[in-house]
This record gives sequence, structure tokens and C-alpha cells, in this order.
Amino acid sequence: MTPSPLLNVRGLDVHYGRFQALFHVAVHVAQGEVVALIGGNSAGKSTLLRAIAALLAPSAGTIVFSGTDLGDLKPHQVVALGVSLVPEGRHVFGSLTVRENLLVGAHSRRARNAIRQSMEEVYELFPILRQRANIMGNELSGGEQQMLAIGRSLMSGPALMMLDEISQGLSPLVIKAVYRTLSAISRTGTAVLLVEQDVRRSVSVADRVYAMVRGRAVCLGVPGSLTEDDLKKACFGFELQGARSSEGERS
Amino acid sequence: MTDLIQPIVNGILLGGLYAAVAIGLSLMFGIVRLINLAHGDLMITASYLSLVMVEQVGLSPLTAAVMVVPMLFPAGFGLQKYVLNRALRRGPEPPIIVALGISIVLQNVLLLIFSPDARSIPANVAVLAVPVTENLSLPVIYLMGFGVGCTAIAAVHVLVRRTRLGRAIRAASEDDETARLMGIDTEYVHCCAMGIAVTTAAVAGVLVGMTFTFYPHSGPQYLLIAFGVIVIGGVGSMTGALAGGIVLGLAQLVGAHVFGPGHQLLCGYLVLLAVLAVRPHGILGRANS
Repeated sequence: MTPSPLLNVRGLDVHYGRFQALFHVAVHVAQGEVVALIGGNSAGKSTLLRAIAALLAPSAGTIVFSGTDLGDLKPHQVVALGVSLVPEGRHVFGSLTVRENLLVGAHSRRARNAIRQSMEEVYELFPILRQRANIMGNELSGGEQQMLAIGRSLMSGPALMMLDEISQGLSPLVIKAVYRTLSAISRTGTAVLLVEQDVRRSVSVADRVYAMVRGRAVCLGVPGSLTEDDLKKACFGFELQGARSSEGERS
Repeated sequence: MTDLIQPIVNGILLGGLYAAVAIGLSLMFGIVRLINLAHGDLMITASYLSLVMVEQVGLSPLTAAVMVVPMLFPAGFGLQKYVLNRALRRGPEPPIIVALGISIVLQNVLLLIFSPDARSIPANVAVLAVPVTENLSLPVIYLMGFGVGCTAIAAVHVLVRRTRLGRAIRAASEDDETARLMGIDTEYVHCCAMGIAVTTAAVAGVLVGMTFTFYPHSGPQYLLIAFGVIVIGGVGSMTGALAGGIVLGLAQLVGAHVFGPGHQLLCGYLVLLAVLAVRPHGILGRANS
């Protein structure tokens, strides 16, 4: 018997005014799983993450996380349930120090010991943040800001971590370091939903891959079964022959 | 020259009171990015509430202050929650108009209840002074204003810089959406910030009521003073509010002494313009704020 997924998105429609961005999207993520969501520009990847984080209200469909329907919740309530999003563009708080940024990430938690422990874990993952603890967020390099954004997100103790375009604007060395960290995070049992335009790299760490094509999610399957051609088509938004729609996969 | 010492000392002490008047506006304007045009009227409402406590209930001014100041926190919290947050969802401009409306309503309610007569909170300390030299004495009410103003600034500074709520206020003001992604209920945080701002306005209102006469329409006058203080000191800077208050207080009282009482306000605003010309972000403000 298959265990129920940690995150289960079914039949999700999202509109921006009269423009429909997502069409009957169905995606699921199991505990400890790394799922990559690939696709071209404006395919709806970030929209899906924003809807799961309750920043956008769906017009149809359900988002169930750990048995709780996220439909009527606000973003801070979703974070408290164990879902965190590292937004595209990092968005560290420039007027707060690195340490304060991390503490803001732990806002939904009260237990001081747990917060202190999470901060130690983040400092172990990204030792540079410990050295920069009292530096303002806007004084960090792009790579350091990305590490801070991921670390800050980890401070809420998430069961599901969503990351949006984390390699954007970073040097290859930094990207490598960030991806090493992702593997370490998933080993702790935290599920990861990864949105990337760097397809090869995201697929290399994923257990399963979805492609977003013009607002529709298509499950491509496990990375080993994917050809270079499948990935190229997903990136450029072509229809994927033989790939099952995520609705079909679940039915 | 020696006759200038008294207005200089009085100006510095008045600066503390002006800082107390401005600190709530500075918190909302500089940190929450909300211009509360009703700030002065909320302050004057606290003055009238204290007056009622003193005249009708028979409390001492200090006891009245202890009663009134905490009452204003839920008022500010509720105002933000039920009125301004709703307006804020429609963009940054509607809350300004709504606050202007609240200002007009408050002024007219106060006018209906208390008539347009000038009032002041009767307090013995208002006429006391500590003699220092033959030509210099320190008015006790100004000393109180300065002390309370400095304490209020220190308290708000510690709250904003050192507490969980303060971090949340700063994060929400910098990037509301990301703050929500960090688990911060930004609307609740704005309510708390407004509650604190109105509480500081209440502290200032009680002091102003004991120091000067006030009318139902005095609110906008103190709103202007508060704007002057935060523009001179630097938007969002708590220590800047104290510096701004002292500069404005000095400019007004020294100006009044040199050019005559009719030039008091003019001198204050000339200094304000001079600071804007030389240092547009204020004495202790940051250029990017």
C-alpha cells in the first residue's frame, strides 16, 4: 500500500484576474522525497509554489499537506504547518543582520532551544553565515544571500521545503555548494520541491521529475528513465510524447 | 548672551517632549510605511481623556496618565485591525485618506463633547521650577517631558531592535510578502505597531496637556511638529527623533527669544527647510530610508 503523500495537489486552477495560469495541476510529494519541477519561462512553476505557500488563492482544486487542507489558510499558518518557500530572487532582509534574518525565519516557533539548535544546524551547513552573523543582509554576496535564504527557510523546521530558482545569478562553484546542501537537507527527511531552469542539475538530485508546460503539470517519472530529448522538450514547452499527465498518473 | 541660556535649556528640554510627540509617527511612517494623519488627534484625544479623569473622576494627573496610556494601546490595535488594514489591502494610498477621515471625525467628536474652549490638565508641576543660577531655572514640567520622551524613545528603540516583535515589524516593513513566507502574520504585526505608536502618542498627549493648553483642533498642529521632528532627525530613526526634537525645540525657543514670540513657528520651519536642503535624509537618517 502506497503511503499517503506529504503534499497532495489535485485539480489546481489559479487565475491572475481573467488570465488562467494553472490548469488542473496535480502534483504530489512524499516525505523525504526530492521532486524537481522543470519547465520554460511562464510555464507556471513559480505560480504553483506561490499557491502552495498560500500567497495565491486557487480558483479550483485542493492542496492538502500532511492531511490538512491549505485552502483557507494564510501564508503564516502554512509555514507553521511545516511548509517553507525560498523565493526566487532570495529576498533576504537587507536591513537585518544575518542572525536576525535567521531568527525571523524561526518566527513561527516558540521553543528557544529548538531555535538555537536549528541555528547551529544552519551554521554547520553554511559556516560562512556564522562568520557573517552580524553583517547586514544587503552587504552579503549573491551566493551568501542564497545560503542565507535557504538557511532562513530551514529555521522554521519545515517538513517540506520549496525552492524557486535557487541557482539564478550564482557562480557554478556556489551552485555546486548549494546543491550539496540540498542533498544534506533531504537526508534529514525534509521533502524538497525544487523549481529550476538549470534542468540537468535539478534532475540530478531529484527522485522524481515533473514538467510544467503552459500551466499544466506532467509527471516525467524518475530521472533515470528520462532522455535528453524529454528534458529539452520540457524546457522549451513542447508536448511530451509518452509522458503521463499528473492527473492520469494518480487515476 | 547669558539671557540666551534659558531659552537654550528650555529648547533642549522641550525637544524631549517633541520627540515623544513624534516617536509614534516615526515608527509608523519610517518602519511600517504608513502615514497616520490622525496621530496628532489621537494624542489630543489622550489629553482630553486625562482631563476627564482628573476633573470628573478626581484622579491626580499621574494616576490619570497611568490609566489613559494603556487604554490607547487596544484603541490603536483595533484602529489598525478593523480600519487601516482593510484600507491597506487596496494599496498604500487609501490608508492615508482613511487616517485623514479619522482625524476629522475625532476633531469634531472632541468639539461636540468638550466645546472649542482652550483646556489644560491642571497639574501642580506645571508651575514649579528648579532654580539653578540667578538667571537659569529648569521648569519641572519640561524636565518631566524630556525624561519621559527619552524613556519612551529608549523603550521603543529596544522593542524594535531587540525583540521578536521588533524584528517582525522591521521584516514586514522591508518586504511584506517575504515576511509572510517566514511565518509572520504581517497584519497582526502592523496592529501591534499601531498600538505601540498610539500608546506613545497617549504619553505625549498627557504631557502636552499638562504643559500647554489644547483645543479639539490642536491635533494637526502637533502632527506638523511630529513631521518636522522626524524629517529633521531622520525617518524611522528613534535616536533621530530625539535629535530632531531638540533641534526643533531649540530653533523655536531661541528664535522666539531673538526675533519675538510671533516668530517661534517660523524659526522652527526655517531650520527644517535648512536641514532638508543640507541633509535631506535627516540628521541621523540613512540616505536610502
